[in-house]
Amino acid sequence: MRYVTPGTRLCFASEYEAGPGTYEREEYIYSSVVGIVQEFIPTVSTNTGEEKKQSKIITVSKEKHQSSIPDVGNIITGKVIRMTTREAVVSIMVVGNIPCKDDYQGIIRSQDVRATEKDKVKIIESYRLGDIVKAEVISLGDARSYYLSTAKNEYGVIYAQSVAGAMMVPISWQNMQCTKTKAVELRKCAKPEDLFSKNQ
Amino acid sequence: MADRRRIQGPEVSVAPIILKSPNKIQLLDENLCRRNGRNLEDIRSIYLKTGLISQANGSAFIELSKTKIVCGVYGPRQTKIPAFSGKGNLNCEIKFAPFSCPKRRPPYRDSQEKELSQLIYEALTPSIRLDLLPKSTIDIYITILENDGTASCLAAAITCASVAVADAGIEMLDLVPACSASYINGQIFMDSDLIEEKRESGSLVLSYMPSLKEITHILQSGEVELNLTSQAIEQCTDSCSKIYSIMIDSLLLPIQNMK
Amino acid sequence: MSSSLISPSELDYIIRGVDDNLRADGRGRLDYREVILETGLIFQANGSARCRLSKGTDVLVGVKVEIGSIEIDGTDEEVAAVKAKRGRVVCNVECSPIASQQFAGRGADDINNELTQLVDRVLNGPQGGLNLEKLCIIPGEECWVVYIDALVLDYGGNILDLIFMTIRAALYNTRVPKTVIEEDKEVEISDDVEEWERIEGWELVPISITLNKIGTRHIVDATVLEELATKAKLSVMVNKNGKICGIQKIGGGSIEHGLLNEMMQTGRSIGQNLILNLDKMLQKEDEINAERAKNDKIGFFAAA
Repeated sequence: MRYVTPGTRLCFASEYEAGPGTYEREEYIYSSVVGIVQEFIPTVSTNTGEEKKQSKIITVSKEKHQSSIPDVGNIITGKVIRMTTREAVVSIMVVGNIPCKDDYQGIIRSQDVRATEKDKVKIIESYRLGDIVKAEVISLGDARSYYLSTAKNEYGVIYAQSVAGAMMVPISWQNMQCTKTKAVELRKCAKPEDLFSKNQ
Repeated sequence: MADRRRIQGPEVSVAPIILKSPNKIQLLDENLCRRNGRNLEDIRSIYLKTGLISQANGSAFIELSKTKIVCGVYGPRQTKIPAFSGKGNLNCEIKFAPFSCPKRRPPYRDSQEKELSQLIYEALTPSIRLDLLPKSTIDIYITILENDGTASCLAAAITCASVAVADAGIEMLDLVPACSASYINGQIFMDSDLIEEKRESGSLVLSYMPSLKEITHILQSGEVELNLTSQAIEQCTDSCSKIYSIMIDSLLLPIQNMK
Repeated sequence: MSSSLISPSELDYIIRGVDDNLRADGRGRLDYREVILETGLIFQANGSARCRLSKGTDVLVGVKVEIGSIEIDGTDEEVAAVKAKRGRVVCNVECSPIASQQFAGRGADDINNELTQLVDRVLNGPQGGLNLEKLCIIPGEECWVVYIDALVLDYGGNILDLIFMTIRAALYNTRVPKTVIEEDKEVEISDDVEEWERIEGWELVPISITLNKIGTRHIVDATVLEELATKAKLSVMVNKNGKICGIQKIGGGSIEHGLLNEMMQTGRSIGQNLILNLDKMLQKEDEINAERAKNDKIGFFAAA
């Protein structure tokens, strides 16, 4: 295993493609983090069935992860901390599988809550304060917040407490039921199968 | 404005006048050896360690005989500046501990500290890949526990901060070692300490990215011939390469020991 | 330095222009703009000067000399002994909000502090040129303190170079009154207006040449737009004898090792030529000032 530090020259740029943790500069590839050098060959099968040969990718896997920052396309987990009639403000706590050290702020605008009947969305019927939400980052947003969307089946509330303070279970894509009082509350729920099948 | 939380001393502090110093200080002996047994081109031995501060994302401590500096790196975190920026933001703050210099330094930030913060910012910015961190800020806090020559302190602070940034796992182009030199009687004293610095006619601080061969900062004061400056720059880049290997060791040792 | 924006096409235009040795205002890479210099404008000050780069930056410097006490550095006797026989220079640079909106409020704090520290470091050390020992009145007790205050009145790029030029001219213009030491160590300032001396060593005060790295080449005396296209700046302080009195990289960005040496060489040779020109202008100023005294002319800021 080869350990490197930022600025270590790894190889010629003609031999490899620069992957995460590396950068290319004047026909060489250098490391940009502290970590272990790894290389792999991505295999992409083309329509004809032949395996097209791709150039090898060189990466440096970080020994210590920098606190992650959200980027467009990432799936995030966060907590609803503020609500208005037009949007729900979410404090982003986890990006992908990596927790953020400091929370980033994101907002789910009412038009991004679900994919259909966008004009009829009421934030108060989709989220409540304290709900834990899974969402996708759709834009870097404005100066303050990232824009998030839950307009896919697998995104929405994944954990919520009822008025009675007990945990709730999803019973349809827009209803959750309290485990204690059996009262039904409105939420934009995330499709639970995804939670169990992929992450476990 | 008076700070009521602190005990107020007199506004101006004057160090006592020492009546007699025993001997005139000899900077060089007949073998061109310096007071602490170094040659002109030798730098002081360096102790560099990463990961001392548990709360920080990255941290480093550097010691060059009497000079002692700690650095903590926090972030990247969401920028508080209310303007959108596609590039990350670097925030450097350097602070001398009140007891770090011959004269007591007041606990609030003075203009020299502000300037040094700016210099460190300028020295480190070229090395950090801020374009990968939109809307984010990296905070670098440096505390000088003991100052043994301001120029060498600045150089050590840059070295230390660069290691701390790498320790935080932040993507960068290269590590940035820095080195200082003093011009005394037409000779170049590498990495001079406080006593030598008081007698210098000029100084040079240089920070350098050894693998890209680019100079990230240069600061020279004093009246010097161009040739001598070029020579000092050469010597500083050489020393930077030596410091570079120490930096690499300090970053890799903890990983290798773990495995 | 500037918060204003530059478009990619403007950037490209500037970089290609620099590459072809032809800049937007018709200058080559190493051509300076025309410098307009005036001295002796502020009568309350002991010395003053104003410099303007044609259609650009404008700097006014006032020098005031006051009697102050010598600061004693008690930690190191050898050093203290030297310092006890010296006067002091105190510098301050202020970017006025009239020059640019970006200097309004707290916006100028950082740049003011940066420039002040830079100027102070250059002028206070042995490389500053001024003979500080001549400014001492009573060793260990009283000395002249030279307060140099620079005010940036218009911003068209290249502030630092112009500040140094103006300071040098203002120091040339400074009249330090003669003093008499009476028996009880009281310092009496001569009230005869004609009895004054120039600060010794003004001609060795360095000026700065700022080189801006644009693309793979470097230029001097950048305009605002060119500064926005600059990757890294290097200021080289040069005095009349061609000695380097300070080097500082300013702003983000890095400089290749080979380019650095080239930039230092260029800075030195341009600086020396510029000082020669400035000295000629200063000599002419004396004649003009004598003429002016007769005519009682007003409206200095309008003279561009």
